[in-house]
Amino acid sequence: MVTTTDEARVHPATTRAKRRDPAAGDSRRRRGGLEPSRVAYLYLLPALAVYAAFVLLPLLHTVWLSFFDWNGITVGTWTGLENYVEVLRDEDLRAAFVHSLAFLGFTCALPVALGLVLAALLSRHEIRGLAFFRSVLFLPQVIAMVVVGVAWRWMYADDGAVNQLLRLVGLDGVTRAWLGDFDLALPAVGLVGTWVMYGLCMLLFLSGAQKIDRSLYEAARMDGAGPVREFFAVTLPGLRQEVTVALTITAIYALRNFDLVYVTTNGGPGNASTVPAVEIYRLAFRESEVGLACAVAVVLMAITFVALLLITRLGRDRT
Amino acid sequence: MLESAHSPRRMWLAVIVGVAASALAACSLTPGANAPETRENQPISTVVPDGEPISLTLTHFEADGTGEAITRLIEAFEAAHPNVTIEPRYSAFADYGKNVKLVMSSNDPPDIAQVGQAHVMMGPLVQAGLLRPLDDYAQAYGWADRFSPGLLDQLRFTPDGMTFGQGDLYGASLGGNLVGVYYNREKLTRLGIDPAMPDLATFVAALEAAKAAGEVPIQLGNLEGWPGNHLLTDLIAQYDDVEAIRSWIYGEPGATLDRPGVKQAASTLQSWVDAGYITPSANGTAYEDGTTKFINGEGVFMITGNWAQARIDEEMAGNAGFMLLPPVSAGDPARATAALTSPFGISTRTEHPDVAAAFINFMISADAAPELLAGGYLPALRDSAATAPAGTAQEGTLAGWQQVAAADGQALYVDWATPSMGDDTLFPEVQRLLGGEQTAEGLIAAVQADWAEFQADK
Repeated sequence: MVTTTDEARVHPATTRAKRRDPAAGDSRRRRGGLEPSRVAYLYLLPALAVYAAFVLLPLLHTVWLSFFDWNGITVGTWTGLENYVEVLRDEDLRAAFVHSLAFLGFTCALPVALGLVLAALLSRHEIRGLAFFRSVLFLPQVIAMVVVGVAWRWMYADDGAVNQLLRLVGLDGVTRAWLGDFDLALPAVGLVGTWVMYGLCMLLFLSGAQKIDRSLYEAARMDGAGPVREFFAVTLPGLRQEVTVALTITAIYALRNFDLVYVTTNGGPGNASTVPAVEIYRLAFRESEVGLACAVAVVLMAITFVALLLITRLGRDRT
Repeated sequence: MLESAHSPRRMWLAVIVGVAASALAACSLTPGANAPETRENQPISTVVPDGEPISLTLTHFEADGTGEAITRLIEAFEAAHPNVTIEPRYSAFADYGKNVKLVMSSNDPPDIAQVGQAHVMMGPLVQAGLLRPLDDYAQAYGWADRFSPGLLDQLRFTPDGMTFGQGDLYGASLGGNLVGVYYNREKLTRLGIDPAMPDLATFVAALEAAKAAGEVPIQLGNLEGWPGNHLLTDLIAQYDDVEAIRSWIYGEPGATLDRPGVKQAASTLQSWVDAGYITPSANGTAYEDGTTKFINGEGVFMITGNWAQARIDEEMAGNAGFMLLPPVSAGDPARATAALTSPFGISTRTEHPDVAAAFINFMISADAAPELLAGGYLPALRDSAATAPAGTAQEGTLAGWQQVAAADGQALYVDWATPSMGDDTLFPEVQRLLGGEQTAEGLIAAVQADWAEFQADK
């Protein structure tokens, strides 16, 4: 009650003052500098400037270049949307985008699923040497992608580790030079992506699982839930945020994937494993088709945005 | 109140739009720039002025032996002209290709630059007016007399940068490269095969003998795609007319690869795949890994270029030989996938074109030849008296190169024909052919379509 009267006492006075002299407020502000909230924007300005110079501007520039037929040196010719028509028309480029969808499965969906299963298993029980397992499973994340690519190229070779293992268990019939197989090169490279990413997902989920209220598990067990039921009723809902983060990171990686494909198969055999990023590189640096390369980049970016939009919506809807 | 709540957002918008607009204005609305002023009509001189210090930069992508040869030639030139310094700048081939256009169009381009033939490097640079035509220097120094006729054509471009093989001369090459057949001497002896093979049928019989003895007849690492294309083009050089191949590579009107000789070459390669003469792991093995396998005794033959020779001679120590792919009929002239090495050109913006040309002239002179040979270059100069140690693969590459040069049998590289021919068309198509996913006819149709599209656009 006291506050109301206080407000009533103060408020009319200020409003009256403003009404009396609307310019007074403005002149006061000018004299005393910016409002605190606007000063906050000033603090953001350096970061914004850097962001604009190194992210926004190159992005806009790329979009702009995608409307030109340009070889990278001489004056380009404005061609409007012709490059985008070419992206849709060109069989190799279309195939590259289809392959990046396969990579979404291998380096995004599969690692998240694997990570969930592993996290559920590891968090349910007290495991001796958990820190060791965690480190080993996370290791692929630490290694440079080029090194990962070269190592797997050798493991997939006809006398490599993969085939040696297969021969050991008597599966001589299925051995082959995996990266040279027209049907299996893409899944083979995709599985390397799975291998790189699942450790990260698992680690994210493990740390997320630790903050789930233990009483929820107890309640679930008392209600007679088995491990599977418990996973879907307690663990998965509790990890929603982490799943969204993991999906975001892995989806971005899956779509912009360049190094892994470039090092392992260079898009081959034929064009069985080519991806948009490899095509961008070829078009821009070897074939002097900078405009078309930019158009592919813009389309790839648009697809990435849509994918991320869907993922964030997925994370939000269920909350 | 309502207005002031919105104004930060407007401010943001204004900032973003403002920054974007000024950025677009700053990099001018249309990308690229027109050809810089050239100094073509200035009088030239073959005399290197002494006295005032002159400093040049040279960019190149020659590693190992060939790179060392260039370094030593620079030292020799500097010793002869104490006022001249040449600063070499090396970058690995993959990076070099990415940067060469940016470097040459920058405000401070190198005076001398190595530029790959054809449309990937040389074409765009010529089109942009960044390379100086060298015909005046070639005439003054008499370059045409040093090389076999027609050899310098692969360094020529029309001024629009679209047609190659004719027009102005834009560079000079220090050596040659050549594709042929490496063989394992010990295995040939055990199989009772004489490496002196008069014709292709003898070679195929040797493949069959190797296969029957349980050996890998032809080792190949073709993961990258380009190594396998040399098997096809070296066969094309035997079955087809070398003039016709060259005019097709040069993009002459009406040329086509859809000829019986090409088809026969592609069918032959396909039959080798079907017969199991080529290692089935080819498409899944990296080039260097394939070479390692051959060196380690997995494979009787390997078909690739002289660039592998130094490593093979070093690691196989006398157990390796090199021969040209034999002709279809005994006694036919020597033909092979072969060409000059990536030439050196001069920037249009150099302040010392005379000195730059003098150094290039020195690099392709008889005085420089021993240094180039020691570095692993095949001698590009005619009447070369170069020799190599007996019983090495180098002996074979040198002899093969001299035979091909004498017979004007260089078939050049088919992937020179268009900017996208290698990575996008020919290499994937050869991988498909080797993997049993493509026919000879299908390959030729795809390659010819790429060619036709490029010719129609230019």
